[in-house]
Amino acid sequence: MAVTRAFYSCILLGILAVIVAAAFLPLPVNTRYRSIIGVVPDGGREEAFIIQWPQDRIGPGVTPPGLATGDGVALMSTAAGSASVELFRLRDVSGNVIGLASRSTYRRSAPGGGGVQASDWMLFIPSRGTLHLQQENAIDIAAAADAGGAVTAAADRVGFWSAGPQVSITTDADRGGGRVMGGAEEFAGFTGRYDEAWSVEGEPADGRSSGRITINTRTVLEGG
Amino acid sequence: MNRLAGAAGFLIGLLLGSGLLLLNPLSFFDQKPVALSGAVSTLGWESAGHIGMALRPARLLGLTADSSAAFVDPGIRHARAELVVMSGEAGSPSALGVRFSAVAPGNNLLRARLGVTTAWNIVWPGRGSLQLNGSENFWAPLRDGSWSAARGRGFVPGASRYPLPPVPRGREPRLVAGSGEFAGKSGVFREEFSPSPVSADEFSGLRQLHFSIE
Repeated sequence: MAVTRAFYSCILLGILAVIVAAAFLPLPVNTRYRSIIGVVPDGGREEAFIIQWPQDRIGPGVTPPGLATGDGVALMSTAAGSASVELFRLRDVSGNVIGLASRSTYRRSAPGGGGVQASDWMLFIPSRGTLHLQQENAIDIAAAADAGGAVTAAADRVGFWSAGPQVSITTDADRGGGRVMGGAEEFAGFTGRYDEAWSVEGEPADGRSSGRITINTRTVLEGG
Repeated sequence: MNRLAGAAGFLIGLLLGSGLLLLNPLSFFDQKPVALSGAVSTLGWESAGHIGMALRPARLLGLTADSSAAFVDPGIRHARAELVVMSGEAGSPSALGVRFSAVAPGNNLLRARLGVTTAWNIVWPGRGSLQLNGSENFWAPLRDGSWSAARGRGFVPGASRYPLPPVPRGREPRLVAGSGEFAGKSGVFREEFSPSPVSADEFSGLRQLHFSIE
C-alpha cells in the first residue's frame, strides 16, 4: 500500500515539477534601453536614430544565389531594374545598439509618371517594435557593382562627397520627403515625417569612408 | 522498495507532465493561422544563411549558448537578420527580401507561446515594395519535434508544412505599407514552414509567404 502511494504521489510530483519548471524557466527577453524621446511643441514626439558606418554595417552573411554583395550591402539585378539592400545595427542618440535597420533602395514609378529612386527603411527594435519608413531620394544612393562583381555602398563611391561632408538624403517635404508609414507594438498607429542625413568624418580614402547616418523622426499617433 | 517506486513514479510524472504541457489545449484553440481571402500571392524562399540568433528550439528556450553568428550587443542578442531572394509563382519575377525577427515578448510555455516577432521589406525591382509586420508561434512544430525526439528519432517535426499562427495577443501579420504599384494597399500575410531534411531542428527551413492585398 505504501509503495503504491509513493508511486502515485511521485507521479503527481513529477507533473508538478514540469509545470513549475515551465513557469519559471527564464526564457530569453530582449534588453531594453531607456527611450530618448522629445516632445514637439505642436504635438507629437521626436526621436532620432543613429547609424555609424562602417562599424554598424552587418552581413549580409552567406550570399544567396542571385545577389552580388559587399560589406553590409547586397545588390539584385533583374531585367526590370535593380535593388540594393544595406543592413545595419541601429543606435539611439546615446550610442546604445538598440536594434537592426535595413535600407532598400530601388527605382519605382512616380505618381506623375516616369521613375524615381526611392528607399524603404525598416527600424526593428526587438524590445519596442518596428517603424516602417519610405522616402524619395534627393540624390543617387544606390549601391553599385564594379566589373569584378564587388558591390560598393554609395557612401564609399569615389566622388560621392565632392559636394561637402554632409548630405541630406530625403527630398524636401513638398516633393514627398520622408514618411513614417506605420509600425508595430509600441509604434503601432504611428505616422509622421522623418529626415535622413549623412555626415562623413575626415577625408574618404581608397573608396572607404566613415561617418554617421541620422534618421530624425517626428511622429504622431494616428487618431490620437 | 518505496524509493524505487518513487523514482519510477517521478520519471513517469515528468513524462506525463511534458506530454500535458506540449498538448496544451490552448495550442489547439488559441492558435489559428491567419485566413487569407481574395487573390493570394505566394513567395517561396530558403534561408541561405543568417546573422544573429539561430531559430532552433533550444535557442528560443534559452537552453543553448549563442552561435558564432549571434550578435553580442545586448539590445539585439535575441534578434536575427536574413537577406533572401524570393521566387514567385511560375514566370513571375523574383523579389529581394529582408527579414528581421526577434524573440517575441510574452513567450510563455504554460500558454503555448514560443515564437518570434517578424518584420519584412520585400522589393520587386522596377515595380515597388511591401513592408510587412507580424509574429509566428512555433508551438506546433515544437510539439511534433519533441514527440519525435521522445521516440528516439531526433527532433524532426513530422508534418510536411506548418502554417504558422501569430503569437497569441502578439502582432497580427499585416501589410503596413507599400510603394510603387503596391502603394495604398492593405492586406494580411501568413508564413509557412517546411522542415528541411538537412536541418530539421531549425525553424527557418523551407519557407513560403502567402499574402493577399487589396
